[in-house]
Amino acid sequence: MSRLDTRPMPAPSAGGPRSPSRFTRPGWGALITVLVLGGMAVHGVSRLDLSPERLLNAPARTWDFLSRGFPPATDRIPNLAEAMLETIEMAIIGTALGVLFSLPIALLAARNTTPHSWVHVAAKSLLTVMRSVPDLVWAMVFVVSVGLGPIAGILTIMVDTIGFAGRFFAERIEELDRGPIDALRSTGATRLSVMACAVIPTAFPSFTGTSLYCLEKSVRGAAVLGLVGAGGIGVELNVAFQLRQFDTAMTIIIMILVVVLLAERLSGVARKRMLDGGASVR
Amino acid sequence: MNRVTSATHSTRALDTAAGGMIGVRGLAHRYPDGTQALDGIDLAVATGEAVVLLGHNASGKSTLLKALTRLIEPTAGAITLDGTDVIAAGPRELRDVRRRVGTVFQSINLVDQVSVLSNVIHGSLGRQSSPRNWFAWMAATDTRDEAMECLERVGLAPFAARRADQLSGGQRQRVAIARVLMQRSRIVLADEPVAALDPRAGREVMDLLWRIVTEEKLTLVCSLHQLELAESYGDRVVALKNGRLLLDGRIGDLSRDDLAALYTVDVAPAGDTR
Repeated sequence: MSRLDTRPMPAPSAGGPRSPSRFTRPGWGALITVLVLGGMAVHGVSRLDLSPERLLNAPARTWDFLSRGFPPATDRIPNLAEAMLETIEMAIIGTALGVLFSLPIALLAARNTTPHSWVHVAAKSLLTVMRSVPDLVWAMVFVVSVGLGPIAGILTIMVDTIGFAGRFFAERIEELDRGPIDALRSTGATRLSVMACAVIPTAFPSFTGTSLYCLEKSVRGAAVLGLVGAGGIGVELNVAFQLRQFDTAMTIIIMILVVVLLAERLSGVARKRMLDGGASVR
Repeated sequence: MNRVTSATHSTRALDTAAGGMIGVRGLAHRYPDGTQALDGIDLAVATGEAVVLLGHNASGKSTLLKALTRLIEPTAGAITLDGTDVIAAGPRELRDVRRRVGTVFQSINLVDQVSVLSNVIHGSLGRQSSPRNWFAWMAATDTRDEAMECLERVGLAPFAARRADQLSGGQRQRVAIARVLMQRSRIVLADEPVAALDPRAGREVMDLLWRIVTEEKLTLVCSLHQLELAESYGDRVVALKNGRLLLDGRIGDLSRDDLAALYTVDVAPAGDTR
């Protein structure tokens, strides 16, 4: 049996170890980065054509917009409601397709379910490209590909959702407890069965939360896709601004605000109920 | 009890070649961090035999059980299960071997988000890989009936529709045993099946597992920490220490000295800082 050491602790001596200095000089890499970023910011400001006249006129112009925007053009609500409905439908269809396609891509991208490391790299790269290109750029590409209208909007939302959901699905799959996966492998189940019976159900609550967040994000995104001709309420907003019909523009902005807040609220409630109640695949 | 020697290794390995259920020769596994979890394990288990694996934590028991069906890939050695060379097996052959080996895990490993019935039906995936067996609501009537019979045998038929995570630890382990029954396996590997349970639930689970193993005439390899359980539920004890086989013999022959050797931690002498 070991004995307790009851000897007193030695008092710290004046010649004891020195504490590290409070500040350290940043490395050359950090210094160069800060200098480059600072230089770009200064250059950017010099190109802004900032004049005192423009800054002084800004409040008056904003007030002009607000005063002509209120009261909103409520008589246009029935017409605008149809465009708003189209926006919501675009978001729902685009998100559903995006979630559907992101699942197999996530299974190929996750290290623990990918059939080969090359497939993992390819799937991850595809997700990065989809996520990195802004949705308005995707919308312009799809307007060129399939023409003006909601189909371009749906495709944009789908690609944006795949990039976003695919990444989070893959990360969740990589974090899964190996237990149920090993249990299914040990029965002699095929790789596909293991994914369907262990991987997807175990990650299902997280997938549900991410999908609802994607829907919320899509409703917000779909509202502006019309600015580049990809359908929805954004088309009406663009026209209203071009014709300087600020009361109509204000009506559209308020409608977008209400729908986005409502979508956030509904998605939050649904997410909470599904996660607290334990989302299941019975 | 006999200390294991190279002579006993080779004799038992030959027994396996002659028709035993499990044969292991020179099995080794080294983890990527360099830890030698198994080092030259030789083991032979006859058909219908019940072997209890003993050893302290990190002695290699779980690694050995997982390596038998290549859930962990051995770094060296040979394994024969029910006449099949496991190491040489391709993906399809390996799935076929695994289908014949039911595994009960220490951490139970049910799929919590699906029903108890779905979990039991998953036991049939090795022999019927149809997507209909992915979830209970899609399964054929005869598959559902067979799964219900398995649940009946473990006393959990009334819980079939519940989510797996709504059951107690003991009940969950009984569902895992029902999944093994559904698998119609010939060998059962149980990795400390009662480690996560209280003593009473643990005894119930071991009673149930033992009853099924004896009724179905299955071959059992079960790792345990509790010596009293080992005495009740095994024909033979195989003990591991630091990844090596230390003891192999009948349970009644286990002496105090054997236990002392098994559970004594090797401590470096004072002042040795290696």
